[in-house]
Amino acid sequence: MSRPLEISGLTVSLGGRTVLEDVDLALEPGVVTGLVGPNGAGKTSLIRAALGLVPARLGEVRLAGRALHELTTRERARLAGYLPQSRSSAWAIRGHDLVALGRFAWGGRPFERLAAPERAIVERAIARVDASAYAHRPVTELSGGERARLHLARALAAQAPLLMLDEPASALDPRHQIEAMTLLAEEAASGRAVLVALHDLAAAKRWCGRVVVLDGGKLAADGPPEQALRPEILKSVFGVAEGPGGLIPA
Amino acid sequence: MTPLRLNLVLAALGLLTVVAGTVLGGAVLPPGEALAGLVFMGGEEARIIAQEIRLPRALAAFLIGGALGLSGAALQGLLRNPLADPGVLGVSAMSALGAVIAIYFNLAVISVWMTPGLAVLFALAATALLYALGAGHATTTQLVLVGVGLSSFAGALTALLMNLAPNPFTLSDLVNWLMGSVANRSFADIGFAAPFWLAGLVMVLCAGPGLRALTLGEEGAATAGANVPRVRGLVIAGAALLTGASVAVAGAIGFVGIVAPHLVRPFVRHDAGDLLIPSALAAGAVLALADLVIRLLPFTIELKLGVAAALVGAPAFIWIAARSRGIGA
Repeated sequence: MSRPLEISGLTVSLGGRTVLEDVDLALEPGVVTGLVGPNGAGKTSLIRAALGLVPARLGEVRLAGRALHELTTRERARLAGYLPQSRSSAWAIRGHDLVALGRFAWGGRPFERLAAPERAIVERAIARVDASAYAHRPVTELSGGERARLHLARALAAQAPLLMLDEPASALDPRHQIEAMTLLAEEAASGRAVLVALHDLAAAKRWCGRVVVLDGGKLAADGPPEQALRPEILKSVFGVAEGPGGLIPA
Repeated sequence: MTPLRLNLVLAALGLLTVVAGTVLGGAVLPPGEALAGLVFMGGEEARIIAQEIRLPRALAAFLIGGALGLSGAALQGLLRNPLADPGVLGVSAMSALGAVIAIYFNLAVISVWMTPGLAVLFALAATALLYALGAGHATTTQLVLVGVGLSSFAGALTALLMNLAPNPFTLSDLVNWLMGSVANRSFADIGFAAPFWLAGLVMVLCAGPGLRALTLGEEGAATAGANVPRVRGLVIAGAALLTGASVAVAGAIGFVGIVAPHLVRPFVRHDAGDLLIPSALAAGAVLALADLVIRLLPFTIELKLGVAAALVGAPAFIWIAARSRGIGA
């Protein structure tokens, strides 16, 4: 069976600068893979290239075995769910209409006109991020963290075999950070592949079954967290070391 | 309120304004006789005044309002900006320039369709230019900036033609056109615009679900599964047809395309797709009502519809602008 995401020899240039160079990455179902690296290492570019939002100069991206350029926008959306870093909404739509956009590739209707099974998916996603209490309110009246949870629910509602999230825990309070990461573990347990870009190395260690380290657009390490985040990598890539109370500058 | 019920209410309101525009106003014919004339039950004179003079005028006001309201709602959805309308993208200004060229060179001698034809053609040229300059990868901010440039350029050329007008009659024709009016419009005028309006309506409605997804921004919409280039093409071309045909019939009438969607938005849960039809109906009713009001005003010289629309619409525009947060963000 083909894997949810297969990237081979991916090179991406933005404005003449090479942001990703010869990256190979294949994701297996059932695993939460953490994508870490210093600022500008290419984490966001990797996710965006995997979705076709930035063109690949070299190399290839396959979703569920099919090359990205063979897929229509709708097919791609059904194969890959995405939570971008920016969690904006142009209009004061209500929370459940925002989450219903996660089902856009299956119809494109607003929440109140969804068919019953679709509506159940949306409501369940809202309940899972603990947003039922405010999902009826306009998103523009919510706090940043509340909005972030609704956007996470939108990504979950897509129910795609591949789920890619860019810093899903930022803007969340500690309890909801833990809950968000638990949700991702549940998603993986239900047979999805999850790729999550993280700044927090401790969170990567705690929640991810596999960690991919990017440095200057190249793969620096890839493996189980203890191995990928071993002291040499921490020092050479991040310039930090394990100290007694946490990470310290190396 | 469900979209269907809202649409029915607004459609009834629109019908009411058109009937009122046909029946009311003018000392010549009492409302009762005008109504009788409208439904073939009065004398021949009443029938001609109601059916052939007032009805096409009221209907033109309603349809032009509808076309501009629909363009405005669609462009606002595309640009994710409550202040967008055909004016912002330079489509109205270019379209008016086309009409002004036809008037200036007296092209009506060649064919009565030259003025309307050039108005539609220039609206389409404006959007084709927007598309060519963008070449498919322009952000909406770039589109807006190109629109500002187009507006200024078309405005400069229009002013140049007025500057060089050979006689006061030509100048007066140009000024009258630019002020915008539906007085003395016939069913023939409406008939010419109808195919363009219809095509524009279909294109814009096809873009409806995509506009809903664009609430998430262009990348958000694309990753949700919307074909953003297709939505952009449908909205820009559809708005050009709607606007060009409207300018062809009535000259430049601004602000209806901004105000109507703003009034309707809370009733459709701020859904950019569900906003389209109610915006068209509301704008139609507003413009038909505005035209009725200027007919009833006791001035010796009738106020132009475009002037009246700007007198009410411009302050509303400023109010919306002052209240909206993060415009262009």
